[in-house]
This record gives sequence, structure tokens and C-alpha cells, in this order.
Amino acid sequence: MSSVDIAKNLRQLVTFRLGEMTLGIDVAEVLEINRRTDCHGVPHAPEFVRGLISLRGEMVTLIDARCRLGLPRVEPTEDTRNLILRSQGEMIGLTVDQVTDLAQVDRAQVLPPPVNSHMVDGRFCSGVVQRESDLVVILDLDWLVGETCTEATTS
Amino acid sequence: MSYISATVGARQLRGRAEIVSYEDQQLIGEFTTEANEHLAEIESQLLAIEAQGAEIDLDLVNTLFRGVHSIKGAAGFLGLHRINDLSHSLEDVLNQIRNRRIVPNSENVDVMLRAADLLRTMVADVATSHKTLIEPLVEQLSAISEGRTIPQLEVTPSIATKQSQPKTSAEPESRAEFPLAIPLDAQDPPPLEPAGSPEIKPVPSEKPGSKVAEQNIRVPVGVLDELMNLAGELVLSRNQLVRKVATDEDHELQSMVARLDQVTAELQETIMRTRMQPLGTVFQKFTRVVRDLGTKLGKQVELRIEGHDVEVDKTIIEAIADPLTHLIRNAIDHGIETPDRRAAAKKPTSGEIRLVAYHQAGKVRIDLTDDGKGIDPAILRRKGIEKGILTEEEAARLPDREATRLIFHPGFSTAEQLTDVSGRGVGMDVVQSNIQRLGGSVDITSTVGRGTCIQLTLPLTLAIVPALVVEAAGSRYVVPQGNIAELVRVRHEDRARAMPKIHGQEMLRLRGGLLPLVGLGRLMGSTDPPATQGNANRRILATSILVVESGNFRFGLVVDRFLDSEEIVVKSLGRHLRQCEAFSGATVLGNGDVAMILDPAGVALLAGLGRDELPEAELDAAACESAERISADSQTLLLFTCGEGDRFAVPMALVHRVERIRACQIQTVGDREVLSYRSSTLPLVRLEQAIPTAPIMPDRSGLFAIVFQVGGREVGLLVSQVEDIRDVPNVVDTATFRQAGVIGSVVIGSHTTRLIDLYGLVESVSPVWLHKQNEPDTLDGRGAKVLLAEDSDFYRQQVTSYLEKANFQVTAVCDGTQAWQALGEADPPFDILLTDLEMPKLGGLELARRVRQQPALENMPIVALTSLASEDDRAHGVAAGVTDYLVKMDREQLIRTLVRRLPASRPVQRSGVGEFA
Repeated sequence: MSSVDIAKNLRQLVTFRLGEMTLGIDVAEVLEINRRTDCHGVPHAPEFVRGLISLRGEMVTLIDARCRLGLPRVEPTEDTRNLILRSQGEMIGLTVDQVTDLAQVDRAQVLPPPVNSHMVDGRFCSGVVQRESDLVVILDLDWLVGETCTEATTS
Repeated sequence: MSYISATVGARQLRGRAEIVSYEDQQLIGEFTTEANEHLAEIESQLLAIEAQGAEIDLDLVNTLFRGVHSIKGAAGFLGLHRINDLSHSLEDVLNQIRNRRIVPNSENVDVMLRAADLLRTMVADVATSHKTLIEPLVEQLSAISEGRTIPQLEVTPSIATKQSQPKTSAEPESRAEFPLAIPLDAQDPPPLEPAGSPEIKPVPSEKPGSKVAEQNIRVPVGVLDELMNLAGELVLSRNQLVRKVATDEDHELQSMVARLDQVTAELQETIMRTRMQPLGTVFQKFTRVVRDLGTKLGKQVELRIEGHDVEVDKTIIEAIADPLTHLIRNAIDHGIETPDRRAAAKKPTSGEIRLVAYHQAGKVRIDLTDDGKGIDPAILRRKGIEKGILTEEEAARLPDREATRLIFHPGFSTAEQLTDVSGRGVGMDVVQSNIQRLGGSVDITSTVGRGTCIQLTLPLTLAIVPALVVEAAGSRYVVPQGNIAELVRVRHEDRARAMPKIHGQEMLRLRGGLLPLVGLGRLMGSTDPPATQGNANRRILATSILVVESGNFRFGLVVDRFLDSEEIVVKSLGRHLRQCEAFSGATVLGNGDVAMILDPAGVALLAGLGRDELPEAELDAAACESAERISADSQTLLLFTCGEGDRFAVPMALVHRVERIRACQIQTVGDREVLSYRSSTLPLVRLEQAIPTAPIMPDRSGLFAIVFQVGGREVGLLVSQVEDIRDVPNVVDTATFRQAGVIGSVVIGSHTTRLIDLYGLVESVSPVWLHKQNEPDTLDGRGAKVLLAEDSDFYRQQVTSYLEKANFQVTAVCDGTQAWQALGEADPPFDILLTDLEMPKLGGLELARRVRQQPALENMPIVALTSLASEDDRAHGVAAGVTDYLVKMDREQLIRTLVRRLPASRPVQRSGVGEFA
């Protein structure tokens, strides 16, 4: 197998933690990772929206990944990070508990989401990777940063 | 909105002769830019056409044809005949290719290429293009299109040039006589690009003499966006640095940061400017459109343009040119009547079209108003029924305003018969959909016989909008100035009266009307008690209310504090926040913080305010509005500054004139300053002689004297700068500044402004001026009984105090009904009734009418007090039985008038003691 083929068969994931879960998104989707905490809350916004930050002059909507996945909210800690993504021409920030590492996984290792996992809601999951130590849930970004939200309630 | 009115007038196109040449220059500049765009790819396109031979790509040929056609049209329009002729011949050939009558081959494409080169040369130097020799090429081109053999010109000038001169050495003179053709092989044809590709397209700059080409460069908008965002980030970093360094001891570092600070600000501003273009670039064309079309249709039309330099994003400029042209053509064709019809309708024979642009709430508004015949809603209803758009029943139910909007329905044309001007099947529906595609909206209002107004609202993500920053519940919010009607502060002790509750809804009583109030903090989710919280530790407890308007709907927004005015850049909100209707966007404030921009319409919606929700009748009753709503109870103030920018105002009604003077004109005579004229002198007073304020800098050379009259003589008040003339509501705070010569303070444009009492000022500086020239009797009330009806506490106190000083006995009441009661009960009767016009329950005019119907009171003088008296008002007043009409602030005139109106038989009473004693 040539190195090109190997590269083709590998997916690079940014992995991060939300509570007990390890999740991952394609590194190509991530513009930057920062630890901004100066978020400006927006009254009457959907509950999962933490607010706005200004990043290089652009308004970035920060989304609380915990809230989006139905986990309880926590106060930001030293480890809290924002993953800045670009979606449909807008910048969106995803606030996560902790960014763990940059992982390379073989495409063949990515399995379809389990149908009835007690831990994972199939809707936000596009696949899972079983690693030696843990299970990485690959997030379905389209759902995650989608406008409508069936689960999280809007205020 | 002052920032627009300041630009109006100076920029209005009036003088024809001068303007046309200026305009033409502009047009030629645009023509060059546009023609160069068309010509940029012509070589590669022609070569592609040649390569395709008989299998022509119709789209490509059409593109080329349209390009050449536009050049032809524009050149003809500008009178550039040679460019017009050459492009015409080229167009003919392309047309034949398009119709597959000619097969492109190397021979005819070669001629076309040379024609294109020559065109480019001529376009680059329009001024000498009329001297360019084009006949040989035109001859060859017509031979091609007519299917003749191409005449092989032995040594045509162009070929001679081509052979003898390398590409860049041509001088303008030689070019004028020997058209230059650039050798094909010396130039790389630009690669074919897909349409709309964001690649940089350099303007052909191979002509050393072409100025236009060198001064412009095409840059993809995306790059500008990025630059803009980066500059924003730089500003924030700079701000942090500035804050950090402010506490540093190192002066060298401080000055370096100061320099960085300045450069950053300029950089940001310049980058912002790159994307913005003044609407004038579009508007200019319309003067010509209007003139030409008016002439063609035999109508006299004058176009007035305001807001030339309202800057909008380039994309918007490009997109609105066509819809606007259409609307203007419509206005001339369907709106403005012929001169004889106008004369018959008693209108000026010349119609007027006004095109007014301004920023409003982060959007650009363009209003197009004509004074033509208007649109008859009845005709639209009928047509709507005819066209099956609505049923007769629906039509009958449709309000006029809605019926007028039928014009936007697809396939609707109001012209009774289609004309070749605007009836080309492109109707208002296309205009509407074009504007909507930009994210904007169109609305129309029309009055039959009076004219039509079309309002375009366009979004503007990059618009720089002047806005007011306010604070509520610890957060800052931004309200665009365009949405702000006025700022009101209600003192704590006035709350009960000024802010009544109706059906649980807090209202603001403002000039005889009631406005619903919305507490911004509470609306935004704060649970703290609203309104006065932010002022708790300030000296005055007051409620800050922002009267905002959206469309025709007004309401009061209760905030904790008014902060600064700032120019903000509107950032649109992401899709997750679209549902937050209260906000039209967000912005980054000067300190780097994010703040939400309030959208008044959305705020009203969120607060559950609707025009229809509060019962109209109850509102009216509660408002206790006077029967006659003549004019709002506001007064016109002249605003000025003294010394260190302290702000002051005087009632405009008292100002005789304002003079610009130089410091050297001021002479000191004894301990007085005077301004000397040729034959007389004007005594001068300075505010600092009576009022604690910084003195005017002695080295200031340009000053102003506000000239007013006291005691029958003119006195000038020396001020540093005259700022503005504004209508300001009578919300005067008399508590904050209790000083001789100061009536009180008003908040104007978020600045506290002291309202100067000119009499009080003169009284404390030089009391002798007040009396010197007065005959003793004209200012003595001889103890006459005056009934004063005035709802404003401030004016009631003021007028009472100065009437009492002038030996009148004053009985003061707060409204018309109390006055009516007092009139009935008084024994002996009052000598004079002095009444305000705008009062709750019973207004001044109605009171006057009642008084006049009462036989006993028939002859009682009634003096009406008003803030601003127009001729109309006077007429109303006289009809109601008012004897005299006076401006409130003019103390002397008031007293003199009252004295004059006193019954002659009145015995002189020297004391202020009433007759009840």
C-alpha cells in the first residue's frame, strides 16, 4: 500500500470530552480552537446558544455542546475550549469540556452508530470508533449546528 | 436626522450647465471602466470563437455581442462617435456570426481582433478618440458582414503602426493619428474564466497615457471583507495594548502606542471605505434620465436628489441601479402629468421627483417621491378583479393602502395603455423581487392627485450607522439613531403623573399623547426592578426613556442609562439567532465588547405591543388629549457651546439674529464689552459673567453673537460655536441647575444642555438695560387679575413668577377644565385669560370657544401662549376667539401685551395683594 493510499484511508479527528464521553470531529472542519470566555449572552436565544464572541471582526455564535446533547450545563473550567467551525458561511463555536488530542483513525475502523446505545443518541452521531482505551463518537456536524433542535428546548 | 440634512443642499444638483459637464466626466470615467471590463477578455473570446469555426458556442458569441453592444450604446450616448461607429461595425459582424451567416475564420477574426485593439486604444484615451482613424477597419468589417471579400488595404495606418512600433512606446499624439494595434503574439491572452469567478482581473494597463486605468484596481470583495475583519481584530488588540500601557511609566512606549493607535484607526476607516461607494454614483445618471425622458414625453420634471453621499456597499449600488431606473421612468411616465393637466389641477407646471437616501436602523432607505397624479386605489381594485387577482368582495374589503400595494402583484400595469417607456413587461413585481433578492423591501403610499412615494429599504451588513449606546440591567444595547425620536427623562417625583398605568401597561404621557412603555431590562430577562436602578446612586433619581419609532409606531423604551453615541458597524446574526426578533444585528463597541442592536419593531413585538391591542377609545380618554391637536408641544431651540464645550440653548423665538464675529471686533468700553458697527454699538454679555462655566478661550478668533432684545434694545450674547437649531420637547428639568440666568436643563442628543434665561442673564449682568428705555407704565400690570391655564409645571412657574414681578395677580391652573371652573367661580371676574394651547382634558382653543359663548365673558381678552406659532395656528386661534397669540418665552412682549389689553378703567394698584383681601 502506498503512502497516498494510507493517507486516503485515514481520518484525522479532533477529539474532545463532554462529561464522560469522548467525541470527535474531522480536523478539516475546525478553523481554530480557543479558550475565549468573554461570551456575550443573547437574551431570548435558544437555550443551547451561549452567546456571541467577536473573532477577527466576525460574529461567532457559540453553541454549548453539552446543552445541545442534552447533558447538564457546567461552569467553564481551565480546560474549557471553543472549537471554531465554519458552517454554511457562518462561523460557529462549539464549547466543549476539554480538547484531548488529534487522532488518526483508519476509515475501516469507523463503524455505523449503534442502534440502541444507552450513551449515545444516534441522531448526532455519524459513526463510532472503538479505540484501545475508549470509544470515540464522531459527531454529525450538520445536526449539531442545525437551527432547529428537537431535543433542547428553546427558552 | 442631522447628519443627512447637513449634506443636503450642498450636493443637490441645480445649476445645469456646470453639472452636465461634471456629470459627463463622471459618466466617461464609468464608461471607460465598464468598456475595459467588456474588452478585458475579448481577445481570448475571439480566439475561442475562431477555434470553434462553424460549431459556434452561441453563449460565447452572445456574451461578446452584448459587450460590444453596450460599448456602442454608451459611446453613442456620450457622443463618442468614432467609438460608436467602430463598435457598431464590429457588432454587425458578430451579429452575422450569431445568426450563422458567417463562419468565423482566421481572416475575419484577425480583423475583429484589430478592431478590438483599436477600440481599447480609443477607450483608454476618450478625449482624442474622435481623431482616431477608423475608416479602414470599418470598411473591412462591413465587407465581412456583407459577405464581400475583405479589402486588402495595402499599407493601412494600423498595420503600419503594428509593424513599426512595439507595443508600449506609443505616445498619445501618435496614437491619435495612427491607431495602435497591439501585436497579438506579444500579449498573453488572459485565461478564460467562469463568470463570477473571484479572480483578480487587472484593468489593462498597457496604455501609458490612460489615467483611469492606472487609478483603479479590481479587488475581489472577499479580500476586502477579510481585510476589514482583520482590521477589526487589530483594533481590539490595540485597545488592550492602550489600556495596558496607560498605566506604564515609559513615555517612549506610550508615544509609540499612541502612534499605533492613530494608524490603526485610520487603517480601519480606510479599509471600510474601500467597500463603500456613495449612492451619488447611481443617482447622477438619473438627472439625465429624467431630463431626456421628460423631454420625450413633453413633461416638465425636476429631479431633486438628497443623500448623494450616503455610502452603501458596492454590491448594493450595482443591484439597485436597474430597479431605481425603472421606478423613476415609471414616475415620469405614469406619475407626473403633462404641464397643461398640472396647470388644470392648480399644480406647478413642472413636476418634481425627489430621490432621498438615508441610513435607517442599519439599513439604507431610499424614498422616491413624485408630486404627480398618484395611484387611484379604485382603479387598482377594478383591475385586480379584472385580472382575477381578487374577488369583488375581497376588493371591497381591501383598505386603500393595501389596494395600492396590488401594484406589486405580478402582471399588473397601471398604464391604461402600454407606452414604450415603462411598459416593457417589466413591472413593479420585478422591481419588488429584485429588491427582495437583496434582502430588502419595497413599500408604496399614494394619494390621488397629490403623488406617490415609493420606499425602498435595503439591508447593509457593512453599513456604518450612528447609534446610541444604552444600558439596561447591566448590559449594553445599541439603538440606531434613525429609530430614535427623542430622549426623555422623567424625574422621580413626576413619575406618577408622567407615567400612568393603563390596563397594567405603563405609559408615558408626552405632549398630550400616551406612548406605551417597555422596560428594556425586564424584557431582556432581568428580574431587577427596572428603570431607576441604574440611577440609584446618582444625584437625581430619574427614569431614562428612549422614544423609538418603527414605521408609524412609537413607544418608549425604559433604560437605565443613556451612554455614548457611537458609529457602529452592523454585523448580521447567525442562523441560530434569527428567531431573536428584538435584534437586527450585533456590533463590536469601541472597547471591544459585543452589543446587540435593537430592532424597535421586534422589541415591540416581543413586548406584546401592538397598535391594535390597546383599546383605542380608552387610550384616547386616558390621554385626555385636547380637542385640537395642532402642533406638538415642543419648542425650537438654538443650540450653542461656550468655553470648554459646555452646551447651552436659547429659545429660537427670542433670537433676532446670529452674527459671526471676530475677537478683534470686540471693544472694551469701561467695564463693558461692545461690538462696534459703523454707526452704533451692540452691548455684549458673556455667559461666564453670570453662570459658572469655563470662559471662552481668549485666543479664539471666530466667535458668534446671538442677538436678542431686552428693554427695547439689542444685546449680543457671546458664544464659541453655534451648533444647531432643533425642535425639542418641553421636558425641562428645573431642579438640576438652579442658577440665575438658567431656566433649566434639557437632554438633547444625550447631552445635558442648559436652557438660558436671557432676561435673567441680563438682569444679573446689567439690570439697568432692562428698564432704561421703557416707559414706566408699559410693564406694570396694575394689579390686574390674570387666570393662567398651563399644564407644564415649568412654564406655569415661570410665567407666574414674572407676571407677579410685573404687578399682576395670577391664579394658575393646570388645564382647561380647571380654568373653565375658575372662570365661573371668580368674583370679581378675571381681567384676562392667559392660556396654553396644548393641555390635557380641555385645550386652549376649546376653552376660548366656550368663553366666547358665555355672554358675561364675551369681551374678556384671551391671550394664547404657544411654543411655536405658525400662521395656521394664528388663524385657528382667531377663529376660536383668541385675542393675541404669543410665544411663551418672550417675557417682555407678553407683559406688554397684557398691559395693553387691560381695560382702560382699571384702577392702578401698586401692590401685588389681590382684591380678595
